[in-house]
Amino acid sequence: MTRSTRFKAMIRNPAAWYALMAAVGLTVIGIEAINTIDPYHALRQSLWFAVALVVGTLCLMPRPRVIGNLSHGLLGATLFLLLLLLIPGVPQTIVPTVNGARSWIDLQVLRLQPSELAKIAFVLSMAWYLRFRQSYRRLWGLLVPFAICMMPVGLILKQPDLGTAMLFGPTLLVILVAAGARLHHIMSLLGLAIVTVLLVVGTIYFAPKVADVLLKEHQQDRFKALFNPERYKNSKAFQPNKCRELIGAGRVRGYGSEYAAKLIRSHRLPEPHHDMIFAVIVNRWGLVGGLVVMGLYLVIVVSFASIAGSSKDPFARLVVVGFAGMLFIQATIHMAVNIGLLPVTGITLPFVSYGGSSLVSTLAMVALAINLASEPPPVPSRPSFEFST
Amino acid sequence: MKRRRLGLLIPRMFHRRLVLLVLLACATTVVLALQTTNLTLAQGAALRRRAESLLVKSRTIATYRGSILDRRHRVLAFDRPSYDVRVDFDLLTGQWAYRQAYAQARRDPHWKEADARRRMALTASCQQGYDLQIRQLWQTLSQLTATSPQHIEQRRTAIIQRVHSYMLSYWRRVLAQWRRTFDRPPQLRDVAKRQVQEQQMAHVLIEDVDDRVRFAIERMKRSADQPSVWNDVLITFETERDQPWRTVAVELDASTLPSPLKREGSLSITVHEVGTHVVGKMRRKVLPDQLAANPYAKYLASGERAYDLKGYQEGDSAGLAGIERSMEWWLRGTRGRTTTRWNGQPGPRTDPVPGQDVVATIDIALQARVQAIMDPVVHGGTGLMRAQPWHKRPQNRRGKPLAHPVRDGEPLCGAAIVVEVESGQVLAAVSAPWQRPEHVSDSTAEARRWDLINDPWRNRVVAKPYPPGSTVKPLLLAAVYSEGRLAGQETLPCAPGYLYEHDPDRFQCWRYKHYGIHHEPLDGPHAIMRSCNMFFYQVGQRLGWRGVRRWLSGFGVGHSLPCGLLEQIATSGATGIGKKQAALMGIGQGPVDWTLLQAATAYATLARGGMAMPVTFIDRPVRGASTVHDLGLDVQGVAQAMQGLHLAANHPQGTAHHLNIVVGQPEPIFNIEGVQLYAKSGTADAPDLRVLLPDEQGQMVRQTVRQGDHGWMICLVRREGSPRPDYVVAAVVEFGGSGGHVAGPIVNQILHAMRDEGYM
Repeated sequence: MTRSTRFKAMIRNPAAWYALMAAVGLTVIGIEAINTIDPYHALRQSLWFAVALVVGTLCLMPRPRVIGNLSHGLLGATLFLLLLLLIPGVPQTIVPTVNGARSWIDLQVLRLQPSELAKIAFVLSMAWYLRFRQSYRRLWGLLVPFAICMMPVGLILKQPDLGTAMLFGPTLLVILVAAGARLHHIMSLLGLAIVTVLLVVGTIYFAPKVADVLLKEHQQDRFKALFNPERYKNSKAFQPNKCRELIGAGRVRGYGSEYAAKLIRSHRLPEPHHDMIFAVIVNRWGLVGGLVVMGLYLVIVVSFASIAGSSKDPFARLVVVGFAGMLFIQATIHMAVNIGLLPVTGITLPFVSYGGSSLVSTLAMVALAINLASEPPPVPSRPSFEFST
Repeated sequence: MKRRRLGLLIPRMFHRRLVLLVLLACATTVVLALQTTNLTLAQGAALRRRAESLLVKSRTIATYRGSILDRRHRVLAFDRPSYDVRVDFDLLTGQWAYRQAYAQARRDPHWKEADARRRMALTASCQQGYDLQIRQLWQTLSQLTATSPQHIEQRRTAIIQRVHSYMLSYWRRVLAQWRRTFDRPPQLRDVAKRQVQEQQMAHVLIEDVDDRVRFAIERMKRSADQPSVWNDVLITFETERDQPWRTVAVELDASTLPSPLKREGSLSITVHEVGTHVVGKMRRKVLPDQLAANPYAKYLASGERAYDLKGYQEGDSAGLAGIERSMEWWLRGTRGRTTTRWNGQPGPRTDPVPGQDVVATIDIALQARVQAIMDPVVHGGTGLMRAQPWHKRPQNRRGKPLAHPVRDGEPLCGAAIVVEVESGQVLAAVSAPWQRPEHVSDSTAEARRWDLINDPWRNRVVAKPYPPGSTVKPLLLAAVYSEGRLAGQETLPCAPGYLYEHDPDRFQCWRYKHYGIHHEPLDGPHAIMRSCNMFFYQVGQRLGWRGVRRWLSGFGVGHSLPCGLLEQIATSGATGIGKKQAALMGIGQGPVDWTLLQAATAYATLARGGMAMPVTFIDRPVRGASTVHDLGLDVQGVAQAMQGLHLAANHPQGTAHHLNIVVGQPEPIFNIEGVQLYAKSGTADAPDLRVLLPDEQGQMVRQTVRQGDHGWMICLVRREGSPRPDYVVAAVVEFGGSGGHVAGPIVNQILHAMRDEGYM
């Protein structure tokens, strides 16, 4: 199959178009939302958007098999970069500390966030690992995928960047579900995770000394703020409280740009163009704006599902599902934090929040998904992930 | 079965799993959408109101505090407009000069190519001019406000030290928080870049300047170049509380004083802090508990911010003592408030409401005279509040010499009150001392010691309990007659060991203790005249401990009286149980105490024939209905008590009749004519004065500093033609000795002062 034939296949796939349009739509909404509160950052985000489009185009070039062959190497390189962030003695000029976290590598012209790269590398690597295996159909067979998952998670947690680290586990579960892992295994693991979270939260209230060992003070504060926002509205729950206020104030159609800008500024909302961008969107465009954003994420999910469904290549299938899962889980956590359903985690809204690395990596995911969908399976191909139970 | 059907519908497992995942995504989106809808629609109105309230900028409008007037409507305290000079913190520290110099140096064409050292040199060369500007600013302010440069320098240093201590405390907290969160120490810039609010605001450098200074500074600001130090100097409107009667010059007739103190002509005494315990003082900054109880702004349960325009803000002043404190809510005005919307449009406006005036019952001129009579710290005064050799202070107790008696010439502490019987209004109330003597400086250990012993900040009239001594006797006489436990002409014996054979030393008459002789059997009035202890032991026994407690309680002893001053205390009152304690309470000793206010209230009740009403310092506003009630005293009983008081003051054998300064040459205590006096002296065995003082090693140890008897004199005054006494004048002198000798001349001088002020 020639390169031109592949491009034609890409162009003819309507699901790819829908996904791309939704991603571009979300990015434009993001730039406008950032413009509401900080025109300078909006301009920078526009430039990053251009860069992301170039990177996305580049991601359309390599054949899926090449990408697959490179996936483990890419994960290895990413792990090395993550390790570099943690090496003591690396000068601040290379690994600066921002908001108490060492998450960036300063390349002078731009700041690279290796954890964003790790998201892509992890999905590619996991898909490449699982594509022809059946071991994950047994409970013990899940051990290796989880061990691979724990490598980037552990390194990202040390930065510390809890928000990003939280994405890997659920994404792995999504990939495993799509790959045909037994649902009762997945449900057991999920149940175990929920019970663990409940136990940890319980210790905050009933065994504070144990909680001090398990969680840092600011992490405990976030749970306290979630369950008692009124009590801590001026301290621990300041950020979620202000966020809820701004979302509620948006009502159905939101405020105009000028009024919304004044309102958000007067609330001194911390990180409005990163972790709280959904609040800015609902304040600016109201419930309608919020629902449109949710709808666009759903369009991306359905489009990716459609791409995966129409693909015969097991690697492509798992990569597309993995990217969809990663994007949707990140968006869900961000919005849930903003509307007060989850404690503050410091996680951005994909395509929308300000951040060059984030925007480039998310658009790269979309481009890679489209790229992988364009490749027909080798003939004859064996059926993938088809099990009787 | 179901699975098979699903298998037929979607044959591939991968596709079934995809559908499952998409459905999960849809369900999650529905949950998110529902919560967003809940916030924007169900709670939207309330959240929008709360959010938009932040866009309304409000500014408060200052108000005035009400004035305090005396009974003749002379202004005792009022708010005077004034201005404070505030200076930006950077200007105080000199950082302003560096900032300006740095900004100027950056405009230098060589700045870009200069290295760090060259840049520092450039900045330093620019800074000299700005440093000079700051030095000139202090000089100009010093000249304009007539404040010494040293004072400005001291004030500036104090502000910087205070703010630095805030910064240090804040940085420590940030550091601790940082370590808890990140498990590693922060960089210096992570902590130091955080500023406390006080670093970004202007501080009061010079207080209370007038219009002339204000206009001069505003002129300087208008004509100042950019940048200029004057841009960071502010003039803010404040109010100062003024007390025009704080210092009064008084002329006293020295010829009416007891013979050792008597002089021809008059005494000129300048009294400071006139009426300080009654009028009170202001605290420059409101106390945290007042701030918490009545805040200007608070959050309601709904999360909205509510404003109480009368509430306190940080930096508000509030009443500290006296009427200023007790009538705080009446005097305190309600500030106004203007609001401006986000687009500059004016919002709702509330005009300020000035505080309301309070009319006190005191006569400030009489108050000044009484203070002049009772000033213990000013040399060249009357000398009545200094220990005199003829005060008959005890030198031993129960056969042992006193270790800490008051020495001759020492200043005495005490209190006096003048009450109008008809209205229950206080005309004058003095608690001495009310200030430190000049030789005791403000901050030394000597001043601390002086304060601990003499307690000049306490209003002794309402807030110090004293054993009443013999002054309680007329009240109990009226009570025992009213209960029918003593017949009209019945006499009681005064003999040693008469009451308790096994305790002969304890229950004896004062006369027997001092002179070894006893009184003849006495009836009620003569028992008061002679102040016979044996008689009143028996009165106490006849009333019983319950009766004594009930009657004294009826007279107001042991009760918190609604006098209008929050400083007043209830005292324990009469608390004795059993026959012996009833007997002791009969002579005003043992478990019984009262304040001077309670004593005056009780005597005013007696003068009204048993009609009890509270004594008050506030004329207007009237706080609630005045409660007048009849104690049910027998008319004959009251008459007997009044006769006894009259005899005590006017009969040569009365204990309130004369002073024995020179043996064999008695001189009358009262030398005022044209009025009828009913008086009772009292000499109360007082507990030792023990206070916590530093010993030689600097440890705080409770030490006995004074011993002896409290001297009382309570006098009812009836003007010619009045059917009953018009005024109660009472005085108590702590550890002064004989009541007749120490407190009697003070009451006499107060009577002269009342005459001079037109009350008699």
